Amino acid sequence: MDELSLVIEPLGSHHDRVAFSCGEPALDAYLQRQASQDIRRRVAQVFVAIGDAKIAGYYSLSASSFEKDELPPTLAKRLAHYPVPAAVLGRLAIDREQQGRGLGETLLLDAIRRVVRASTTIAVYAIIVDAKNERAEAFYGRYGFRAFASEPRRLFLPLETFEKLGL
Amino acid sequence: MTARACPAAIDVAAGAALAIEAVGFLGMGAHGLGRNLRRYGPLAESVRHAGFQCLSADAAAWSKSAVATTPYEETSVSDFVLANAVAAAQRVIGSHEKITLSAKDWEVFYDALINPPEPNEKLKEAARRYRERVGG
Repeated sequence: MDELSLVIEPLGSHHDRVAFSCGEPALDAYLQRQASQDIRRRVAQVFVAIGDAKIAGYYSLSASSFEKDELPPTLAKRLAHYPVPAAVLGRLAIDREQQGRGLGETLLLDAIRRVVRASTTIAVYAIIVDAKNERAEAFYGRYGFRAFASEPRRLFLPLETFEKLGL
Repeated sequence: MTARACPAAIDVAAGAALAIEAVGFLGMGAHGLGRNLRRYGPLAESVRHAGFQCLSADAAAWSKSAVATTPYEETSVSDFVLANAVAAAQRVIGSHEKITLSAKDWEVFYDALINPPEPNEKLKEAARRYRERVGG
């Protein structure tokens, strides 16, 4: 694939998703059977990287908010923005033919840029990623994402960290 | 993400474990619904008792469904309606999922928000490469 020809755009009905295969059946199935429905219902936004007229990779973004199970009253008073709104990068997958070329990184940064730009109009304080396996967990860890102790496959970084990237 | 990224919120009064499990449930097709309806019985129960407090732009569309407009007290909830209620709840939880953190996780999360770390070198390099690739 010619890197320069790569286009990242919202998933649409004209994209052929049947041929997509990333090696993780759940992620293939999501793109093929669930993604359009989620977009229609506004459960998630799905973006695809197109190279050579094929889907080379995709990611999904959705909204979420974080709160503590039982917040001590003293702390609750200090939290002006409680619960904390966040963006969730729920899925990120690269077609097998395109793996090992840094496309995962490109999609991650594309997602980050989209969230940073959206944060000028909606409140978002962090980006959460859900890693599907150990390899994905390590991938996000390398970029500095921090894991939750009780849920190591779920990692996060505050939006302010991403704002410093000048995307 | 668009400006309408938080279309809906619902208080299903479900516990943290349920909310987080719902994420996995969301990714499932209709195929697994029957089996998981049983498994998510408590959620369905919460949905009924929450009386569907929909606070959203989607509320208008929702109110057209029997599920959204029928108070639970007056309903003998058939499996069919229940299935719809759970599916609808999943959609809403998914579109604005509330995630409850343990005290320890919250501390880590909140501390990072207050003291955001500098991006590490790899992330900075990645941002540089990305800007080159897409032309900023």
